[in-house]
Amino acid sequence: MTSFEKWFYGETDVLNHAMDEAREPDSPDHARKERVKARLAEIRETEQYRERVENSRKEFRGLYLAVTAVGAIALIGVLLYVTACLPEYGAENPHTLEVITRYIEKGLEETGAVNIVSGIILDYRAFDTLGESHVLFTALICSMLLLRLDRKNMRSDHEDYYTVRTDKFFDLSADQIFRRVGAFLVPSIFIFGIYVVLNGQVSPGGGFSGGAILGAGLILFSASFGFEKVDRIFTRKVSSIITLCSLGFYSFAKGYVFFTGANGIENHIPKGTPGNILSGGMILPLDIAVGLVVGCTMFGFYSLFRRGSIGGNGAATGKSSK
Amino acid sequence: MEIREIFTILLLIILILCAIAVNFTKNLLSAVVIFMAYSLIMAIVWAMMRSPDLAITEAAVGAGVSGTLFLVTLKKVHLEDKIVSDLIEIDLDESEEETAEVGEGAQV
Amino acid sequence: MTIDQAYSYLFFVALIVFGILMAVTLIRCIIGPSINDRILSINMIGTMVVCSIAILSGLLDESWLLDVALVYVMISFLAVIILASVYIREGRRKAAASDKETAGKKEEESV
Repeated sequence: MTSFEKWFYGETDVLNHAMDEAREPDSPDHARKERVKARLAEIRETEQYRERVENSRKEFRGLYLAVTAVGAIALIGVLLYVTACLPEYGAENPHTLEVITRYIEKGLEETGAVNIVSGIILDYRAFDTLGESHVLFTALICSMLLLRLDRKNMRSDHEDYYTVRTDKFFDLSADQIFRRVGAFLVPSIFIFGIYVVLNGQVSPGGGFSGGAILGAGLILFSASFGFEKVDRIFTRKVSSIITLCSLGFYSFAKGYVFFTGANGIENHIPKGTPGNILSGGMILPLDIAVGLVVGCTMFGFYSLFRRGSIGGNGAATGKSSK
Repeated sequence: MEIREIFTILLLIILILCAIAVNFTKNLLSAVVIFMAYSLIMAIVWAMMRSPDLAITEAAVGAGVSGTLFLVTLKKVHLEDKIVSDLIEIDLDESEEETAEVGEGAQV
Repeated sequence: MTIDQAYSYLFFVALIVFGILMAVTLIRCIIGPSINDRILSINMIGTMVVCSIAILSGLLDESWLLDVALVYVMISFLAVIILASVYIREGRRKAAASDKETAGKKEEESV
């Protein structure tokens, strides 16, 4: 394995040395922290400190409450007044009339989607959706940075590494209700999620809702059958490959459409007849891409919070899951 | 229509009640549960305003994923049964750096 | 009064009754001293929301609202299950801790 592959699959850690220095018993930071802790323990014993803490809770409490109440009421009043000045629900506003009439009148023939909302999200304003998908992906990566549990960074006083990773005493996957209802409900949720994703341009739904339903289905699967069964189909490699391919495909496809549209060249993407599933140009593939990213992100968050890694027990042995 | 307005006003009153109650409960877990109720009622409001995409997304995200993630976070930080007034002790313990510098400089 | 008007009045009255019931259940959710009250009331609010959305779909004559009701049924089940599982874990952990305490006290008494 070259060193790039080692880094790509997670065997060497870029932040390894930087974060471990302050925890070693020999480093100067650690000695300083010990001194600070001892001094603080001394201070807390003294009478003056206790009196100050007691008084600071009692004094000015009335003043704080009064100022908070006045500030909150003022803010609520201002917001209510501004909301009352807006035009009524459904009325025509002369400022935005041009955009609205253009979307409603020409939305169907220009995008080919019966669901105008999907047409706006994924055709007229597809650039915003691209940014949002990248924001989701970035959030997942940042969570992984902060929450991943390895042997090296699991040093806390009230948690032992092995009890967290092998949490069998409090594991509920042997419960009868979970198993029986899960066996019936999890396939239904998956099929329904796929239906909502694929029908983005025909009926209400689309990429984001379908992705959230798929993520919830995966969460139910892992909660009712245990994490071992999920690890057979959804490892960290699968999650990385899915997000990479989906976001890459979205970027390249939309880049092509923007390029041809900006230069006035015809992009040969068929629009199809409105009302079919295979219609609306690029809306169907982009829906699938967004749905997959959202589903992976939702399940990734749940898995990171529960057990500190997205897939597999690779951290237990020190190697990445293979 | 009048009856439709009555129903909408009723739902909005429930929303305001939920929002105030989330602040004033002492138990953290009950705050998460009331937050889930808020999201449940919000979906009906979206349905009454005839916005289908929002209703489906609010149902999937608010009731399921967001509430579940809050619960799992609480479990991770070991605060499932903490009452809010206990957290003030934690704040005093965690601000080590500032009080250390104050303590070392001035004689308490 | 035509049949359509009668139906719409019926649906509206049913919706308002559901709304009042939701408010009452919400008050139980806020007050309820133990966690079981809250879990049960969330479950009940979810069921009542599904019923109201189904009534709304008959009232507004839109078929996409039934999709929303389907999503709600599945997802609210997930939420209640996870909520209950967190509390079963807590209960088991406390039971294990109290077992350890009683075992420790018995050891002290015997020693």
